[in-house]
Amino acid sequence: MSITLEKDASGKQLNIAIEGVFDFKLMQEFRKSYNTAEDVECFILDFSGVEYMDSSALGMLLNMRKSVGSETRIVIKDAQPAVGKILAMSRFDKKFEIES
Amino acid sequence: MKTIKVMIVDDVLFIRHVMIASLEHLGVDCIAAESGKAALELFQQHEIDVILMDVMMPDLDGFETTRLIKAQSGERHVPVIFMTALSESDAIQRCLESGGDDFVNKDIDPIVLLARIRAHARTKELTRQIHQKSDEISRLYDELSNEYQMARHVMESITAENDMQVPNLITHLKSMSVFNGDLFLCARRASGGVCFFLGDFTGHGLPASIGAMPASQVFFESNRQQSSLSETAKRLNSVLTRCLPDYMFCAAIIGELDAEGQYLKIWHGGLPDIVWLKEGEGITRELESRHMPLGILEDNEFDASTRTFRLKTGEHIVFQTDGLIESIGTNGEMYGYERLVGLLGRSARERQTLTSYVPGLLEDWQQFCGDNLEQDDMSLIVLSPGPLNPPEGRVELPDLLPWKTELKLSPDEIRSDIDPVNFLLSQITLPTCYSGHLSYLTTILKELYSNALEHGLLELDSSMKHSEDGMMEYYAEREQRLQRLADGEIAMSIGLYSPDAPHTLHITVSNTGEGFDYTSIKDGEPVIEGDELHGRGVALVQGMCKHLEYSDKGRTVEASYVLS
Repeated sequence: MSITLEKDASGKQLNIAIEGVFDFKLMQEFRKSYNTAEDVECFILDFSGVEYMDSSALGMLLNMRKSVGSETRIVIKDAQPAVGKILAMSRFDKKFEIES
Repeated sequence: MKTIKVMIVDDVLFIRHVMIASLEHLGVDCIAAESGKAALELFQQHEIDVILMDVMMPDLDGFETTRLIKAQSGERHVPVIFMTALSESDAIQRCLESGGDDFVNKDIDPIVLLARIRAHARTKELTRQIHQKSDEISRLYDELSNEYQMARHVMESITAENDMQVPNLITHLKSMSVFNGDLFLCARRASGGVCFFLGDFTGHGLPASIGAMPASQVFFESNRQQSSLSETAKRLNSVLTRCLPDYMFCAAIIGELDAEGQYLKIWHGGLPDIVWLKEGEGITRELESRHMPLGILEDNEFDASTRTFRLKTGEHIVFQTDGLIESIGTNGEMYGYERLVGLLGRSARERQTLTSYVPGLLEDWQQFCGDNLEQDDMSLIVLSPGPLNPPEGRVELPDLLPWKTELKLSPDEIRSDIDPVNFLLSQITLPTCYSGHLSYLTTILKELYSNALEHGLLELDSSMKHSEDGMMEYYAEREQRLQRLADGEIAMSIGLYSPDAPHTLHITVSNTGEGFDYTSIKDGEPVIEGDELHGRGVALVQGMCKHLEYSDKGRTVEASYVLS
């Protein structure tokens, strides 16, 4: 269970890779990952390593959406089928770019 | 020292007598033949160590007699020393040509002759010992071959479960002996996906393949039980640590590809990097091993974490044991990872299809190795994405008997490190065709359990979660109240007990709290409208269940879930 950050060369895109179970136990680490980022125009959330996600994680994502502002892109990338299903059922495509 | 037995062959009575007298005096056992014919007969009747042969004899001469004796003795070595006169020096060449081993002058000092006889007797004895040993070795070899055959039969029966009918996986396996130190296993998942194992045991041949037996059994059994990839890795490590001697282990990759052929999950311990190729682009990723090989670490030290990758069209993923890259070429150098990666990258850039670049690679490898056959086992597996063919013999939905499993948790048990939902679900075994439902069941139970705990027993207000800070506060408060929680109970049950709905699971979660306004968390659909941050859990569960109902002031929630 961990979060890995990686900025692209331009410094405008931040890749946040989440691994393991994504729930409230990751809240502080997850919040820090986007709050400490400066001048980022696009966040890529790499979900390929997320094995399980619960509704508290959905809340954390919505909080992120609010916090970074609606003009900043947030892309949720490569979610595994079970996790992708949860995002789809909650209609997260309305506020996030879901890329698979 | 054993007495040496010498046969003297000479047609001259006087010489026979002189020789016998002088040699017997020195402790040599002698018999004499007056002609070549007599010599052949005596040779068959006696165990003779050395023959002293006259050259000039009527009828059969010494050369011919020697030839016949040598032919008769076959693989048994019988030294023949020719006795010549000085004038016959031109005959030396012929002595040796006829198979003679040595020659002496007839007037040789008996002591010197004895030394020569002894030297030849020793050679004869050594040759006899070598033959005896080699007979023993070939007998052992035959025995071993029989045993190998039997062991191989056992191995083949075990790996017969391998389902190789998956076009997404192309395998190139090559073994240096009857038994392979490399092991490739492949099994279909009930979900339609495929699970595979590529392992390289230390060494090669029979000792290396012994580990394959427990490994195969655990792999297939684990797969039948629909265990997760991590669980399979854990079980394989555990059995190999227990079974293998300390100096033996197994570098391995365990992988799982889903039915859509999109998601690849990997546990990688100790094999060479996994290479990602993209047609038209080249090498896009080289994935290093993250773990120690199987069979080294104890259960509590073992790291079973896996990584998941989403595969794209046109990608090929190459798995291998070190056999190929560590092959020694005719130039005495190793084939090497760089050469392999260079070749693969070039092929992929040139947009070659799978069918052309793997044979090309193997051809390059064979050319590199030439006749250098002393190599390790080698395996090369290429995986490509895309929907898998349906597994053969898919199971129909089976009839089930009614059952119910229940779990009641006290505050201390709620505080324990054991996840109650995973625990409850681990107690039930659904028929394998239902395994795809486990992730939904996990979500349903976890959400309902969280609500029962957070709103029921801990009386937290979910409206706190509206903001980032509120959410932090909410979970901090949750932790504090949980530590203080003294009374109360949460009960969870799951079962299949309605005769009218034979494939419907019933789930109940109840708590002994004061009750809460379940409408505040229930009306969540559509979830994301109006930045509503709470209530998503119940909405999610509603979306997955056929029916969901709160009762008893929110203390009890019942859900039904259809297995189909």
